Amino acid sequence: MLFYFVVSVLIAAVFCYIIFFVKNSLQKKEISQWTVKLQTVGTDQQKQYEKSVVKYQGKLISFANLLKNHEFPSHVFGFMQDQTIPDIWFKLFSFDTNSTILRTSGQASNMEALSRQVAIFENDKYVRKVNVFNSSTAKSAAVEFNIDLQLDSKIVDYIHGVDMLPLMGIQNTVSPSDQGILAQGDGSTGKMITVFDFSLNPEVIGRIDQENHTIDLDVPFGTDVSRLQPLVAISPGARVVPGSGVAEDFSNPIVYTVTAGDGSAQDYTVRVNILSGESSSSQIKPGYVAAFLVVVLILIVVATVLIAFFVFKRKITERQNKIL
Amino acid sequence: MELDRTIAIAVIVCIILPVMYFLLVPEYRTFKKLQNEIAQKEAEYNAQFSYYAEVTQKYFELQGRKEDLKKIDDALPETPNLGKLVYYFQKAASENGMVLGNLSLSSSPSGGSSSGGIKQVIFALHLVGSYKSLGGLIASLERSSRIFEVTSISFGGAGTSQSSSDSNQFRSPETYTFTMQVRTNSY
Repeated sequence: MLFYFVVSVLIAAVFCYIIFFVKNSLQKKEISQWTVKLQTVGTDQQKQYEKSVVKYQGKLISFANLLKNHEFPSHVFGFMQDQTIPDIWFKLFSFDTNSTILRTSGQASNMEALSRQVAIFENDKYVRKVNVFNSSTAKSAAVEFNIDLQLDSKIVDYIHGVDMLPLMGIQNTVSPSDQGILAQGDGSTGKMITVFDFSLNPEVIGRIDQENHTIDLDVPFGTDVSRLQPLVAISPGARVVPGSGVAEDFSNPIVYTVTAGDGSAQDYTVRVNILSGESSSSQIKPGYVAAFLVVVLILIVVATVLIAFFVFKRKITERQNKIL
Repeated sequence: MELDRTIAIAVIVCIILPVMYFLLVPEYRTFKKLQNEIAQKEAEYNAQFSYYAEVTQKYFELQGRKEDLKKIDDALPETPNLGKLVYYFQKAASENGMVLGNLSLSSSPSGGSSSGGIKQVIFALHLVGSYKSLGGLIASLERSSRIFEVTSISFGGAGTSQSSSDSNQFRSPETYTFTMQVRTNSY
């Protein structure tokens, strides 16, 4: 009995090895297929789109950074025009826009004038800190000075007088912040569905044919297609009916109508294909399948060996009976 | 016969152990490793697929905002357009009642500092005019579709001003000379 058991274990071990060997070969093939797929993911056109999007992304970030405190010099200049007293003469303004610091150098008619000017700066709500460096008195009693002003960031709201530097906005430039793009009826002509997918697990992404205006989706076996809520992205300025996120019955093809800002419309036919049970079962993790196969094979082998053993033993008994 | 079987069992067990240790276990480990690799590749593929879908969507969003993009392109052009800049400075100065006496390029695009793909060009403008005109010019530069940043202003010799030191420097209607450093960028 033990002998046959040991033999069956050996056979099972060899079988398992063969199964894993074959399975590994198949997996290696699958990996190379995925590698090829990965290399080909994204069409040439999509890669061009990517370049363009990445370029503008970088540009927008740089643009936003440059716009920060962009109006600093003009407001500071206006502020200094208002705050400078008669006996002070500035020779240089140096603007550090990022840290809102104004470095100045100049001449005061006397030390009293300089101290009055510094006091004015110190008491001003737009000035956070005043540093006076190198004030030196010349023979004519004039005082050369260097003053650094750490200004409050609100200085960019400072309005000098009423006519000199009025509100100097840059309203004609685009805000880098991401604004909504679903403005409607703006005269734009785009009427494309750019993304159509179902937020299932895993996510089902629609294959959009922009020539034939069809969208195909394959959902897993067992998915209830009578109430699916698609996520639909369309051209800016356009509208889509039925809307994005609205539950629809996809048992039969559904027509989605995209209307551009200029009123022209385009229909897209959406077809949902439910994958068969076999196909769906392929989504079961390969590890479970392999383990299941191994167990079944071991059981088969053990059963075969046991049957063979009992048949063989019966024959031997019969032979011994005959001899006796 | 019994002895032969015992020996056979021992021999088979001796075969089973190396078969399991040297063949089966390594093959199983490879199997698990490959399984993980497939899962990774699949996840990577799905991520890439979603990425390109999103990029396509963003591209069309950008296409719908061409006018805004044009403004950004104007603010950060591909090339410094030095010729246009010189003309612009000349025009802006005269529009604000100043005379552009001299213009020098302090830092060229190749020699200038750059950060995040931005190339900086710094000009030194030598101007003649009043303080009021200077304020107007600074405002004009800030309002321009191209981004300009005034980095420093040096005010003309104090000699003439000190004669009228009882009045505010910036409220003086007299004409002075200024040197203004202006930084602009290209992408």
